Amino acid sequence: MAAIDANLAPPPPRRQTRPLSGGGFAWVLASALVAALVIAPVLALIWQAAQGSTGLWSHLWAHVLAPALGQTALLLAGVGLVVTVLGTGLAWLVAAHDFPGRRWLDWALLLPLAVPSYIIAFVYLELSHPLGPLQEGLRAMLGYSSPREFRLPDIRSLAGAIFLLGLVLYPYVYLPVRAMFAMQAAGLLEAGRMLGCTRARLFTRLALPLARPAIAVGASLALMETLNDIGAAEFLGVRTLTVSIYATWVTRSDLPGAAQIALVMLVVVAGLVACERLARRQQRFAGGAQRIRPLEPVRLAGLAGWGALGLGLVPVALGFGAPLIWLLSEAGSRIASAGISAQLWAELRATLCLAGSATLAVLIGGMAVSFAARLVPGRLTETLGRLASLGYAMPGTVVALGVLVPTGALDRWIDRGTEAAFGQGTGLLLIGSGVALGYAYLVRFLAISVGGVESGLAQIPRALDHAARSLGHGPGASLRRLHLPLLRPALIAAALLVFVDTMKELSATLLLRPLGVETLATHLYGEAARGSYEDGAIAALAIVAAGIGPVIALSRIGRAKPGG
Amino acid sequence: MGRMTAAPLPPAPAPALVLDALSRRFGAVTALETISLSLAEGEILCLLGASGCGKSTLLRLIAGIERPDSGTVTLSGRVLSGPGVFVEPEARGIGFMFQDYALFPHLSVAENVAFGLRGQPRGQVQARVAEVLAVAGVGSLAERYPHMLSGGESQRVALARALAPRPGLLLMDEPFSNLDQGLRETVRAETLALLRQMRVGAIIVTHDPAEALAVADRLALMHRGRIEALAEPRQVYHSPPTLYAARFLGPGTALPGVVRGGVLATPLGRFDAPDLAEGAAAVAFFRPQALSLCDPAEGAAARVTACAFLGAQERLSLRLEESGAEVQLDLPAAQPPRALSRIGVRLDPDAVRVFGPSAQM
Repeated sequence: MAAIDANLAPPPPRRQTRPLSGGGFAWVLASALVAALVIAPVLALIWQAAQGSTGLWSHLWAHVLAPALGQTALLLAGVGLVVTVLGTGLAWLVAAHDFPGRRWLDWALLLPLAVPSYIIAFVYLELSHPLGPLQEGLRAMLGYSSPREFRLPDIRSLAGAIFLLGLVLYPYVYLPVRAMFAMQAAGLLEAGRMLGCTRARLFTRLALPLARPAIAVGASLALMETLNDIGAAEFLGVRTLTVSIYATWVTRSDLPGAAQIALVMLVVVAGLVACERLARRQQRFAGGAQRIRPLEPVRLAGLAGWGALGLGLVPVALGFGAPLIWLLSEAGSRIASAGISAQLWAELRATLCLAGSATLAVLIGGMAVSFAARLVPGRLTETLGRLASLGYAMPGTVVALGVLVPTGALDRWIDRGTEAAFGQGTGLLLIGSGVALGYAYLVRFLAISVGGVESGLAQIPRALDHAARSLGHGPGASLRRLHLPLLRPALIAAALLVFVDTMKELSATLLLRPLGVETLATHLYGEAARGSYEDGAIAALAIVAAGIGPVIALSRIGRAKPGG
Repeated sequence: MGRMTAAPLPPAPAPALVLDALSRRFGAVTALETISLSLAEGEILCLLGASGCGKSTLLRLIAGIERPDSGTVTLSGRVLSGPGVFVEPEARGIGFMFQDYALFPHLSVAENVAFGLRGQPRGQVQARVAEVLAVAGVGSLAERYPHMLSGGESQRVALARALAPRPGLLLMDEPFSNLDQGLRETVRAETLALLRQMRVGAIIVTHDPAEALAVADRLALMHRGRIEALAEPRQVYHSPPTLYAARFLGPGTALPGVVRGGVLATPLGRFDAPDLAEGAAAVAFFRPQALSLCDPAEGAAARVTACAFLGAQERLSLRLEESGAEVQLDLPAAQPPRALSRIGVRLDPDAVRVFGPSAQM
């Protein structure tokens, strides 16, 4: 959920351009370096794609790219539709109505975010297996005795993938739309009623048009996550662009071909980013003049109230409850019978170790970029910040491919150099040590820390900077004694989000992990791919459990303050 | 105070809006306590009060955006809310102008104004939109979108939108507070002229006493969820029922004293207080213009402690020599006495209000 973490922080207010002199150059340089690190993989991809023979292009197009594009387009359209309908409908239900359990449902609806797409697919493959608990239960209820008499359509299909991805990605739409309804729409909806619009028509005549930008932002982010997904598509047999990149590279060892597909994918991503930015600009108009006042909800009493709660609980149960219960029971019986294997402990250690060091790197990079923009406001540092934040939109597979090119080249160069000098090569130093993977995490998750630190800094009035300067503190001393202490909550929140996202990350980890190193996510992927189910449920449970923390943090964003 | 008797009123027309014992609580806080008032056809009433006094809540109860806990709202004989009755806001036929205008950002100016004209034939809607936009002086902005409008333009569009469906009553929540000082008075005058021309009754919420005095046919001063004063502006200004009302509407001095034999003695004279109990702690309140200069031997002797130039007049701050009490005095003259000079002051007894203990809360 890199995209949602990076994008749902409140937008920083327009900054004043009042430059402070002195000490800024080093920060700008550091910011430029970080931005260059993020851009390098994209440039490397373009270079790599150009290395491919044009003769193979027609083959690649006909047999790989065209079908993958078709499947991806269908998947995006389907997921887009599901998340829009679910997210907007649920947001209206919760924001405009009052019923028993509403406050609780309000944040429970975010819980499916804690379930990564590859875990929901992994769980539902089991749950909906013809001999699995879901179908057995249905048959028992309907009075059938064997799968031959009655079975549900196979979940391993495009429709299945759309359904499952929609189930875990709808919060991307729910969250901004609910915030919009709850905080900005109240005055406008009241004005609509004073002009004779009935409650029932308010949704179609006002709420929906007003929410359009928020829906577009949320849906764009959900679709970026759809593009990033590799596990669900692969388990469910949907050959998306991401799966094709992976297959072209790993199975056919065709790096230029994979790079070419990756570039096509970047074009799709660019389209989504454009959608998102356009919608955000409209959002600013939509929200501009309104004072923040919570929406007065309609009370649904009695049966209608319980009905509303039941309706709202369906996506929570399907997207979070059922997977959690299944994982708990599977993991429980596994632990009861075999305990937790030493291998799993090692994987957990590797996961935490990677996530911890990546978090540190991402935070430092984010601070460099944001502080540069604070100390030397202007177009240059703003652009650097934008560039450094591009990774949230890039699918993990594309990032991994882009990182592999320069680090692989560097590795070969070091290897040859050390072999010539000492007669002993280093092998793949950067890739083998996990530095390449850490680099990929940095590219992918930097936006979270840049966004977090920037919105944290935006809360600190510039007058405080000026006061610190007038009291004899240079920029460095101001940062240390003024900004860092004030930023602590923002930094902790960003660290939490980055840490958990890194723990869950599958697509880049799969391609760049050092030989012999497995994380919880890749372990799960391996088991699902082999069709063996050993420690997978325990690994999945650990990932889901870790993911609940950020969901709680997110549930505090966009909540209307009482009064006003 | 005899001098300020109001001119006899013409026979009152039938009340258009009647509020009877409206109450609203938020948890333990009582926002409105048994509010009763009525509004005549075409009358313009100002709800005046400090922030948090309940004036906006009252407006929202009349509009039906919020529900009263008890009491009734009746418009032209039709009960809008009361025991077992609640007419939804969209069915009340009441216009509402919001403080932040609440223009729909996704609709053009013309579409905003047409919003409340749903269900009418197209041509009729277009004609009405053009008409009200022209009357409001924003006919040329029909195709613009809200984010392209200035503050004054937004205000006029919001007014046009609220008036387009020909509401029986217009509620305005701080309608001029988002405008600059200079623009505010122009727009206010235009808005009032428009309301009178269309004969629309209006309730205008404001926290600015000068605005309420200038605009209202009648003025309701609210304080802590109650109506503290309800009368024509001149009457409320000159004979406020409580010390709070007196102070809220403009500057003045309150001299404390004790009632003896139905008379309140103060350093500036003795004033009749026939209704107050013996020994009651009362105050004599007067506005700065009630004091005039005289020879120190004839009036009370005082020293000038400060002098503020207010443009049309000078406001002197004085300390009375005998009692040390501080009073204020307005001088129309352009030649104020110098600071620290010794002067005499005389108080016009007709311009003094005496407030007993119960009127000083």
